[in-house]
Amino acid sequence: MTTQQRAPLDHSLHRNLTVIRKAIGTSGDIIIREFQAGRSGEVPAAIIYADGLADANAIQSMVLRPLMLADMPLGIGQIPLASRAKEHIVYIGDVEEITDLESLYKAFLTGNSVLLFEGDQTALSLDTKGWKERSVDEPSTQNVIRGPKEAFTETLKTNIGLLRRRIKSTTMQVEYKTVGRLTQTDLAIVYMDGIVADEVLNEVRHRLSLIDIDAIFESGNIEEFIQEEQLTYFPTVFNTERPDVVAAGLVEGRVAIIVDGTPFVLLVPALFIQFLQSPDDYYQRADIGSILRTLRLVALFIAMLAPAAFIAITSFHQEMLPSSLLISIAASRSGVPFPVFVEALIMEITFELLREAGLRMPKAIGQAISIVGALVLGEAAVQAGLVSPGMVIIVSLTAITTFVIPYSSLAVPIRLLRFSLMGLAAMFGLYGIFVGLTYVILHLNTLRSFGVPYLKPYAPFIMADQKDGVWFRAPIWKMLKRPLSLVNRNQTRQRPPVPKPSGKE
Amino acid sequence: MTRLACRLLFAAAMLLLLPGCWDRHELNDLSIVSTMGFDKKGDKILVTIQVLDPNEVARATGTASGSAPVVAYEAEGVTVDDAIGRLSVKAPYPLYLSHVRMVVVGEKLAREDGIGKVMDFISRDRQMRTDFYIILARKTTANNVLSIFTAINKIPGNKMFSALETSSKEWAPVTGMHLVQLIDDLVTGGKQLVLTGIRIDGDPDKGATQQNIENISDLARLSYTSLGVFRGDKLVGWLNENESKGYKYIRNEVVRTVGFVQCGPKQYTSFRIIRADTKSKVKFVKDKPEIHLNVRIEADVNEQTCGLDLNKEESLVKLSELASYKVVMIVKDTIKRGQQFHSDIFGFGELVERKAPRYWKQHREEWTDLFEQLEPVIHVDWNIRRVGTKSRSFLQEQEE
Repeated sequence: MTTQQRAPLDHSLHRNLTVIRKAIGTSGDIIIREFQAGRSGEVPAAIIYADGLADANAIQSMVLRPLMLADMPLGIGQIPLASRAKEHIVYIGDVEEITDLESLYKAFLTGNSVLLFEGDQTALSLDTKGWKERSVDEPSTQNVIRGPKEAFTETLKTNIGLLRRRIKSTTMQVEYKTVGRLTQTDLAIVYMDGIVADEVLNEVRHRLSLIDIDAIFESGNIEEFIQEEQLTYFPTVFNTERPDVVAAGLVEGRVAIIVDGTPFVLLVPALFIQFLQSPDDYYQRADIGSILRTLRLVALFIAMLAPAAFIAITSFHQEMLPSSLLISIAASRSGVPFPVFVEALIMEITFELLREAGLRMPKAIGQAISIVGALVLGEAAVQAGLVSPGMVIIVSLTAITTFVIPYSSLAVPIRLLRFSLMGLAAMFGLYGIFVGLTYVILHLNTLRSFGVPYLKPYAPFIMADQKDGVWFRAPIWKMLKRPLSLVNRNQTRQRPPVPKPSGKE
Repeated sequence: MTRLACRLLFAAAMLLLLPGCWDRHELNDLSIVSTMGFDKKGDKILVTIQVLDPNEVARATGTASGSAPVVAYEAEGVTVDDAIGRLSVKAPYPLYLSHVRMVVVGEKLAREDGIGKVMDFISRDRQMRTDFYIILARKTTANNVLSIFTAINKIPGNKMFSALETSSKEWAPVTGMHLVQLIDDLVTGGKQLVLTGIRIDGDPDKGATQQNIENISDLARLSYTSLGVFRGDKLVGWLNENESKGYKYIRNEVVRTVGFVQCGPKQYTSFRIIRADTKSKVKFVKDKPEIHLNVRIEADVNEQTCGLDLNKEESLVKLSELASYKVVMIVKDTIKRGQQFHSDIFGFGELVERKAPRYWKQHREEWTDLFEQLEPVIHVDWNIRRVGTKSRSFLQEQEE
């Protein structure tokens, strides 16, 4: 939209108000307050704001009161009243002059209040935003043992504030953008100037500029628009509700996309290993972090392969089991009427159902569901002879390990792959599993996130980045460079020497 | 083009489904065979198998219905496979041979027909692993051995397996023989086969009932005896306990064992051998091979009633000398015994072949005769490492 197409404001306050009234129709939440400005009430004026978005107290004391008490010596139409009010009268920090109706509508619909004067074609948009918002809370999904307990909220400016609190540098750049024809959702592109790769940044801007849709409600909507490969289970856009993770991503050269109305912030480019690196890894000692990462990698494979391997081994490769284990599994399976694949499928689907139900349940009933779940999955199903105890162990194991993966956006594809691999295992045994895994690895190799290969730093292999890999993290004083997977300039993260006790050689 | 692509896709999908699951077997639809036994019955081979009943085995909570943990099925056939085919009318599910722990060969079959035919099936079958032990049923049939109830470890196959594994490590006279080594010994001219024998102590008929394990002292039990000597694939005789030990010394197979020396009337010192290492060498003296055996033994004194003061070096030297002498005698007797059986079970021929392949090629045919003329030189180096927590026996203190 260019200025020429916009309808300009009129000189007459009355005519302006008529047009505005017509536009807002019956909406009772838009308040139009007409008053006489100046100590003796010589200038007719009006203020428009949205009830619930604008702070009524601020409007009263910061706008209406000074206006009504001000001297308005010159008559209507003599000097631009709006600019005088802006310069001398109104006690509001962020004031903008507007001259067209579209901007005027947008101003009061986003919580600003709009000030109109008789005889002036310029209106003022005053930042009086003040609505009820959720306070900064603990993260609800991405918890850590050690680390900041703050999470993003639904408000864009609070979220940017949370980032600014962590990165006090002018090089942190924030670009605002609006998407959604009806929702006019604000979003901010945040990056570190001088670190971020230009190609990535331009790509982000380009892809965001192509979005033309009526409504955007969550960063998930944006994610779907801007991800490269649509036909994949794997996430190529990272999302988090933790400001520390976003801040760390920014200084590593990533670009954050903050969408108003959701605490989940997008971070691109996203690499596969990122989804296995929990923020704790960096806040705890390096050795502990490394052990936890290894453990998580093991958990990933268990979550993906445990039922498939169980099916393959018990129905194709019985010779691989130690005899005594074979006997106990055989004994536990006697009397189970289904093939092991069907048995596994029943249990896995039951678990997925319970999990989904647990999410939707009102909190008060959630407890009951978990008890029922434990009974259905455990005791009763075994006693009824529907499933074998061994299978219960396998399913519980996969369930637990799924939750070990720190970011649920990776846990979901793993869950889906589990079922495909189970099918392959039931048909071809271990051979099927390996064909499936090979396919998954090939597929991962084809993925890119904003031009960056998804499996970096493993494929292509980057030696320097192995310091912060999928199963190992070097001590922080060893990581001298920013990840080369992402940054191609300004790579120095720190300069030696490493702090040592002063007395020591 | 699209049609072609569709057809290809369809074909690929078929490819996926058609061969699928061809060797899939649910675990509970398998008859897991734990032990196999082979006997000679007339002109035929009698195959006995023990199939596990997983429910009986795994039920540790005491709710076992009292039926046997394994069920034995037997069938006769002209060949092993013939008999196993016939077994399928008796066993509830397809036989699954991958978990066989023991293969027992009846003495009669081994003596008269040889074990070669049986081993052909075992080595050929794709399900058989190679980590089971092969033993001989001494003075009985494999069929009888497979019908004995065993206590503590309820699966006879596993019981035999673990007992053999333990005793071949801790008690020298038995040796566990795996399939690969057995076939090796059968095909190499320079080494003849030995197999450990198992016998039934007590009444086999009573041993075949549940009663057997209801008593504290069981009515019949399986126990390993010494080694059976083969010539080719036929059993020719048995070594006694000392000779079996000698065999293991010569073959450098002793891990740990117990030995004793007599140092007076009813006075003994017994040793626990903790390490034994034998180096065998061939030297050619006047174009004739001469075998040198160097046995190095480390032992602890476990028990002594000789009235020796073990603080003194000379008593240790004396004990070492006695012990070395005894080992030399055992080894000599063993070799003599092997020579009597005309069977080079010690692998001396193999040593010669390795040292002098050309000589071996020329004398291969007459090796049995040459072997009988061998007089190996034996040297034993006996080291006493520890004497336990007492240097002097309290028996001595009593006397004083």
